[in-house]
Amino acid sequence: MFRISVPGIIYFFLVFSGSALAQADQTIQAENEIKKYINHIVHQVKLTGDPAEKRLILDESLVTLQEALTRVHTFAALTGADQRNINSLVTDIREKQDELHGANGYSRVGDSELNDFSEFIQQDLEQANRTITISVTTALLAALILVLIAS
Amino acid sequence: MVRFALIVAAALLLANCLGTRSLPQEAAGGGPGPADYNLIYVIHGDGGYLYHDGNGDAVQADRKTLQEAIAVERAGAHAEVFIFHQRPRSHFLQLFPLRESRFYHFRAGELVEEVPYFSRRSDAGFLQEAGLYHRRRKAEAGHGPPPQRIFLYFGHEIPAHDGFGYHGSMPDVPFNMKILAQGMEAFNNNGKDRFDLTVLSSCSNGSRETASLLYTQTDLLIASPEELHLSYMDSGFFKAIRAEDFPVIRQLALAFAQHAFHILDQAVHTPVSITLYDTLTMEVHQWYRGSRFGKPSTDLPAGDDVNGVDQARDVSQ
Repeated sequence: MFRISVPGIIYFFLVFSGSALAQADQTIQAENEIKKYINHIVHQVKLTGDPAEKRLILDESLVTLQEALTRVHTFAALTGADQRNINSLVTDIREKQDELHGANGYSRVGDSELNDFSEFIQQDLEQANRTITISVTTALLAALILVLIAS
Repeated sequence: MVRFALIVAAALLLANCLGTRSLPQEAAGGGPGPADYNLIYVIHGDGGYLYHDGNGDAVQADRKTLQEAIAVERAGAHAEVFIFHQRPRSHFLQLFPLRESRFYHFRAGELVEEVPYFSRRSDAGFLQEAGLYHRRRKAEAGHGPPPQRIFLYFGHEIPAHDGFGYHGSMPDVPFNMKILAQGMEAFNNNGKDRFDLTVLSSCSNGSRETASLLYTQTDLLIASPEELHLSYMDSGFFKAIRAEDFPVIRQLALAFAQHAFHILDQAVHTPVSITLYDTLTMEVHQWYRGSRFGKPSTDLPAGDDVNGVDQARDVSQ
């Protein structure tokens, strides 16, 4: 005879409700992971007093972000909207890198401005809500690749 | 054992239904006559609202705004405050919807009622919120001049069209400017009232098109034509205001916009742009400060060919 145990019921409901909640939250959680990464970078920049080191930290992290985003399409077939949004984000980050180094028409960010520039990058990336147009799969992949590259 | 699980589920469901907190009737109904202002906050929290402040501390923009709104009333503002915090939809055991969203009603500095309500958003606007508002709105007849009515929305950019995915937990339910206008109309007693002032604390919703669309719902509109940081426009301004300080709502709107601009100007490195529209005359006042970093941005959106642009723009430079 088929018997239902209490642990079985609890397990079933936890898995069942957990997966539903995860569906709703996954994109936001993935985006939050990227925001936490950027916040860590800002913290690292502020910790050091050496402008050359600040610039290096910023440069490496901007490269890492671009790399994570551009690798997403190698793992999943992106929709047109996802591809456009990823491309836009990569371009945005590349322009910040240009500004950091004074390339492609940008004035180089001064040594004394690097802390403020790191906060500008963070505020600029955090204030725009990009999750509306990025699918769960794409957002999760971007966050996962970022964690793998950065760790 | 199955019976035990069902009893637990029923108990939790019942607890979910009994979440309302109210003051005793004499406190809720007592106090002075109508306040100088009715402040109606709609705070959207069903999305990604995490940001980091200058200290690197993680902040949920919707929760911070909720605390600020509550602080406004706690400070003894001359306002009756209705706060709607729209939270993500969730279910207990995937079966029973939970009342995740919250309605707070403050009057004369006191919390009159805190009501959890279901996160059932629809493409018809703020039907639940407007229903809760109209049931609690204090009768105004015979108590002197009616209060100035101010509507404040805090959330991400409201799309012009479609808007699927705006509500993170209900991606199939759209939210856009037309739905916002319908929602405001519901608060306005289906067109019988108008807001004196509307504040859209969201990215890129400050435009002539928005002002035209909301023309039937509000006299004045404050919004940002460009991206707005998630620290939002600070509503702490309302803590100390009285009707005699601002006999004309336009003066209050100008002062609020200047206050919000000043706070954002101090807090962020990104461009700050706040615009006040008179929806009747289409006169525009704008406060703008660019950024030391990034691409230079325009101080008015392309094609927004306005008269009466206030000289207050670039005030910080």
